[in-house]
Amino acid sequence: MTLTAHPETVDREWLEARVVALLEDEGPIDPAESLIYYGLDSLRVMKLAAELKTHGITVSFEDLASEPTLDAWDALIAARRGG
Amino acid sequence: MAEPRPGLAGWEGPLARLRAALPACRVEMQRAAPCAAGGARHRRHAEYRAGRLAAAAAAGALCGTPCLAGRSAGGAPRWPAGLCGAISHCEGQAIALLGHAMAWSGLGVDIEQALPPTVAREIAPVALTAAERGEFGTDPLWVGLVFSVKESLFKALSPLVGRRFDFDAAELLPEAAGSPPSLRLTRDLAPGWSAGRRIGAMLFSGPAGVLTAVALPREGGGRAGGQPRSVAPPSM
Repeated sequence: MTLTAHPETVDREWLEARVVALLEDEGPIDPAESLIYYGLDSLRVMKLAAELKTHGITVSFEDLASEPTLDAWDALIAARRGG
Repeated sequence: MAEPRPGLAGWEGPLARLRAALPACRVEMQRAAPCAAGGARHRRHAEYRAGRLAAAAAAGALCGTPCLAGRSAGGAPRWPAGLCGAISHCEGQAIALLGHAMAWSGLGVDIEQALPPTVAREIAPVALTAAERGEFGTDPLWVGLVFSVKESLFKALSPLVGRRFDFDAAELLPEAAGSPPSLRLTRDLAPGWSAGRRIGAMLFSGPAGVLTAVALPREGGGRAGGQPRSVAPPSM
């Protein structure tokens, strides 16, 4: 997987698609369930943090890892986007 | 010691070196059961089970009684009284490091597969501090080692200081001649764990990936465990 500057909008749909891709999962993913149960590991969290950074959204590894659910990440990204 | 065994392909060397560096601890690896189908969730569950089996084997080797580690709310293993340790999983392989709690106040271990150069470049801006990027660049081996050793530090130190911390809370120091690798805290985490404190680190690499560990001797209780032996820098 190669990350470059992305033209997409970082929204809920984008986040869900990225998480499904990162987890190599076929879905569906319960948005309130810990992604650890879906196979999330530290390297995948780090990759998502890095990818968000390329979109100008600064979230730390720990921001993501402390509450690893789709709902929590969506809220975190919305807050960091300045929304 | 570290006799080659089936299922350890590529990990024999790093495993032997970690065991030599921490002779008072026990380190066991376990291959996860192969998954016929499914994504990361199935593989991860198999790795989780392998990690618990590795921990049981390490506990058996350490104190004669296999134990099954519990699981905390955050997912970290919960050890029976008297034991201290950590588990790591990586792409079908699991490792457990266990020691006596009377000798160690914290133990952390981590394995990571060799990073592709693209992934190393992606994660370096988040996993490495500016100083680390200046020292190690985006070299896949070193990015993997830095990432991994900070995982090991987190596992060893976070329960001890009672808080979580991020990858920028410590940085790997460039190697100096004759001194073993070490991490330096970049911020105050708890009384006694202030910015500038150095923590010994063990870094090993092999064909399968990198293996790192952090062992924090219990102050005043080190006779049973001793200090980690000085270790050589990772083989390239």
